[in-house]
Amino acid sequence: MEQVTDTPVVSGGPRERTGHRSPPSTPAAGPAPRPVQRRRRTPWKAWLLFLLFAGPNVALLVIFTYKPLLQSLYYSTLQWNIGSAVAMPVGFQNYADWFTDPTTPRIIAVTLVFTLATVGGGMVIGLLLALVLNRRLRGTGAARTVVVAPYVLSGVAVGLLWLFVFDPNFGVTAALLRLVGLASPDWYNDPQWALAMVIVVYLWKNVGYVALIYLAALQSVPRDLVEAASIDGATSLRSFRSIVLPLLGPTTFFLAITTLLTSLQSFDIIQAMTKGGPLGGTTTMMYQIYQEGFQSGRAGYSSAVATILFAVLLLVTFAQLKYVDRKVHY
Amino acid sequence: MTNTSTRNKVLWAIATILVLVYALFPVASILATSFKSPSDLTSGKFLPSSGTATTSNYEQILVGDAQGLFLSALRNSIGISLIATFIAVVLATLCAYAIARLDFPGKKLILTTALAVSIFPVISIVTPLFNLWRTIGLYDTWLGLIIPYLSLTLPISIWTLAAFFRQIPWELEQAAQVDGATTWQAFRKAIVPLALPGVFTTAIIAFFIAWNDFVYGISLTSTEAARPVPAALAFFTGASQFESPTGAISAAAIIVTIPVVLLVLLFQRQIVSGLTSGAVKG
Repeated sequence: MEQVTDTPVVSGGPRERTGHRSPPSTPAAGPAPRPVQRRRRTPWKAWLLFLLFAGPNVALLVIFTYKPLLQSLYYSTLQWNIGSAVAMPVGFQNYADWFTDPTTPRIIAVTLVFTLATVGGGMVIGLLLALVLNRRLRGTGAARTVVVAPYVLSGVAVGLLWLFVFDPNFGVTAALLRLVGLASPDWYNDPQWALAMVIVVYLWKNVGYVALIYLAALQSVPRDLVEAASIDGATSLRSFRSIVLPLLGPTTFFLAITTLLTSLQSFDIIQAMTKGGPLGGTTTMMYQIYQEGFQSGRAGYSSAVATILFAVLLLVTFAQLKYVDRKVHY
Repeated sequence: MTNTSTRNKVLWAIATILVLVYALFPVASILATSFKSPSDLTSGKFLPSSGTATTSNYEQILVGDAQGLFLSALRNSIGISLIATFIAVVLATLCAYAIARLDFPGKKLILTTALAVSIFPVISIVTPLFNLWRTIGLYDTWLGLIIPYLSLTLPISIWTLAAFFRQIPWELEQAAQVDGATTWQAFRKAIVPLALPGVFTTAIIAFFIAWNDFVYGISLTSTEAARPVPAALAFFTGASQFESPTGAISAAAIIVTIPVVLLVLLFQRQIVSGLTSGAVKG
């Protein structure tokens, strides 16, 4: 992060040379002639241009994202209620509190179940969807649009809509279950069924993105490779396992990172459907941070949990980038 | 051989239909709910009972009691998302252009700085912003949401555009200059037409991100002055205690969903290329 603020300093140095109009004497410039060669800019000029073009972006991100992030780290060491003028520095007490709080094991468990189910389930269902959509049949174009559409819908709208679908008395799932002679589970009041409900809705909304990315990857699998295998007598399952799946490796890693990052931060569906309940059955870390910060007003404690979540996100990203190395262009 | 391939085709067709049902059924069921009268909501039937289908839910949110709540939110969402998208695309285009055209040490660092933002949890940013906005008066204003939406959309916009710009044959510009065009003409006639589709795609993706944001929308607003649709929808539930708002909520959800679905249908190809650019390397 420090290097970022270095940027203007570095460019400030060479800029002073603009005073004299002779060609800049920086060693890198060399004796290149000056015709219309646009790419061969002298370094200081490139810096100036770059600063002009990228400066506003970097400034915005530094002021309104990097700085608040650091502030949040600082808040996490305070005992401080949001809006209050008094804040007491407490060191790492908030962190210690979180790790020893009796509700924390449940929150970790809910977060783990939700994340593993949505990421794992999303990848499997997404790949299956992509395989169906990859067939060049009539209607697959429309099907692709329909599958991707939920991904761009508002999570709140989706959550509220599905709430009716799951209604134990007059919802569609209850009607379907009645058809096969089953009673509807109490999706609203049973913590475990509520978590299952939120996971189903999250999957429904987000699986289209996974399918779309897998579909693009499938379409870049060389057809002759699969055809050659089938001529050699491989069954389609076999050629899928030995040829297509390995080729999808980089895409799978890319999706693992991106879906994990979004799943750990999912908020809108939970807020719209269960508000973290019943009995905390759908309170993930992300939801706890919101609840503590904006409902209980415990900004310091909330920031500490947010920092822990951030550490998890960083760890996940670095571990995966390290593992994938140059296989994925992320 | 022909036998198995016909059977395969039928199986795949069935799979496609299943996929369609899976994706469409919930939406269809809500659409049906939005036309139900209050007494019909609990009928347990999929469609409104015959003769009772009503548009009263839509009237309620568009011209009736809930109008103030819903229409102002719609105006806020459209205005804020459009402005944020416009600024983000302009800034990201400049940045991606610089990344594509200029070569020097430190370039990668800038790109990483911008992209790293996308792994910062939004919820970490929101408390400090809430605090700052309260101090400088940006709380519950359009600008107070436009700024965080820029940090949501800039990283992915820069990333998408940089991926697009890498594929542009920049030599065309020089070729045009050799043929006698001025620098500006060469840029406008040779490069802009090639770059526009990428810019447009990025704009659509950025718009969706801003339109669907919920964390900032619910935390940084408090009144109709700036509250966007997703936040307003979440407040809708408690709006009327005596009458079940089920019908009104489904109507509101359908209204905010329709424009998005239309955009998806119209710009399907651009959205697909935007979401997949950079994710899959040939």
